[in-house]
Amino acid sequence: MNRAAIAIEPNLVELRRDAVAERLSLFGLSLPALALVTVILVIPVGWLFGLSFLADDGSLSGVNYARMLREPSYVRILLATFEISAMTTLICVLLGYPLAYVLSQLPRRVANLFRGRCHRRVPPPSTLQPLG
Amino acid sequence: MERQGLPIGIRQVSKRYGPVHALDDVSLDISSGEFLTLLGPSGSGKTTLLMVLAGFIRPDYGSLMFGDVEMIRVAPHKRNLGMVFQNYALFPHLDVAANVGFPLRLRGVARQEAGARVERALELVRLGGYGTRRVHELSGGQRQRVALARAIVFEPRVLLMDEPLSALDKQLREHMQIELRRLHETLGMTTVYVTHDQREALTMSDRIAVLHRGRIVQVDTPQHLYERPASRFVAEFIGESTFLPIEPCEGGYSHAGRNLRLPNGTAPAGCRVLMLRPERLQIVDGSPPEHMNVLQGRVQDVVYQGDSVLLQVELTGGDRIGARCASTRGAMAAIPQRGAPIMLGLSLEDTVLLADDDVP
Repeated sequence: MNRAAIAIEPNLVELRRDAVAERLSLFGLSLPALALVTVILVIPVGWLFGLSFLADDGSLSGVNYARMLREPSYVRILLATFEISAMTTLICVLLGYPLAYVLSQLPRRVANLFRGRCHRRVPPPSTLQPLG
Repeated sequence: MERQGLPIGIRQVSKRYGPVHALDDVSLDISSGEFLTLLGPSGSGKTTLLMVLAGFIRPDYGSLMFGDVEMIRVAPHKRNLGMVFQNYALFPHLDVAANVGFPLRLRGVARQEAGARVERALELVRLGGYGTRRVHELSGGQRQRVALARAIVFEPRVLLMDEPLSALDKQLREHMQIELRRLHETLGMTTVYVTHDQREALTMSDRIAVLHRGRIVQVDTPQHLYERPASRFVAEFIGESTFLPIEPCEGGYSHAGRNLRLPNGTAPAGCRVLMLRPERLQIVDGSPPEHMNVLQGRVQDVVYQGDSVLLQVELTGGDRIGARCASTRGAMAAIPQRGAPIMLGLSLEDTVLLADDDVP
């Protein structure tokens, strides 16, 4: 930006710099959470995913995936997983829709009470997995 | 509370959202202690400009001086200005005194002095003794007064208000307009007020800046703005008006074949319409007086509106206009019957010709 342009558009450069600095500092606020997620989620899951491409002797191979498709027990497990997921979704919709409707019609205070109850009964799947 | 308000200098402030110019090179000087209103339709940029003054919106470029100090890069909480929001923005978990005292607490004012100043601020907005009430126990008007007390308690030298009365009903709003005016006269802080209500702007302001599409189209006193609008947009936005097409002719302009008499003898070139304010038209009996332009037509309808009577008149050329007269017995006796011919006089100083700018 040359001198003349600065005179025509006062504080242009400074304001742009402030905007960038603000965006960076806001991003900085999310750094601790980002570090936490990286350590407890991204790294372990990535490590497991990496392992799935290694054969028993440590060489790179697709043997694990081949076994998954070839052996009937693995196929059954996979199918069962999808079946349970689909059924859970369906049951949730059937139960959840009427419940949501009733909540929307209740006075706000009562609705909040019920909503609190519902949330506490639903631990996220990632907490369940290690338990199972 | 007798500090002088700070003068404000706004230079070339611009803000774009994608292709839209929310503010397009806005420059404006507000003098110390002035009550200036930003007026415009929604989307005209008035709130954006106020938010730039407050520091909540960072413009693309521009300069903002409070007194001799450049403020454009200063954070909102360091600008030391009072702000009243449309939705009051009171703290619901604090009582009235704690709400009003909040700015003092932030500034580390000793508790005893703070208590006295809070009480004084509450008395100024006529809420003395309400300190221990909870916010939810108050009416809308009272909440707005609390918000106002909170904005003035630390004696800011600049006060910003963003449509503070728009949530109140009409009667309370008019009452509060007078109150705000009185308060401004008592405290003398430079005040910038945003509204889309033209009557409110006319009632309260020392000067009004009319915004349209991110630009200031006119800055003037209420009376000048009403009587000498700079463009058709301003004339339409402020007050009632109808416009008659005019043609340039030798020595001036004419409407429907009649030459118009003009206040200074001549009018600038490029005018396309004659602005008529309904209440500035007078019924003329007998021969037309010298100092007036006369419009002839026929009464189409007479509408009684309590404080005034509105006549709908079809002019000889086919244009329809409105004329308003007082609803006193004497004035009403002079109104012709529906269908009868009528002559309307427009005095020379009320004869305003305007260019026909594009109005959305």
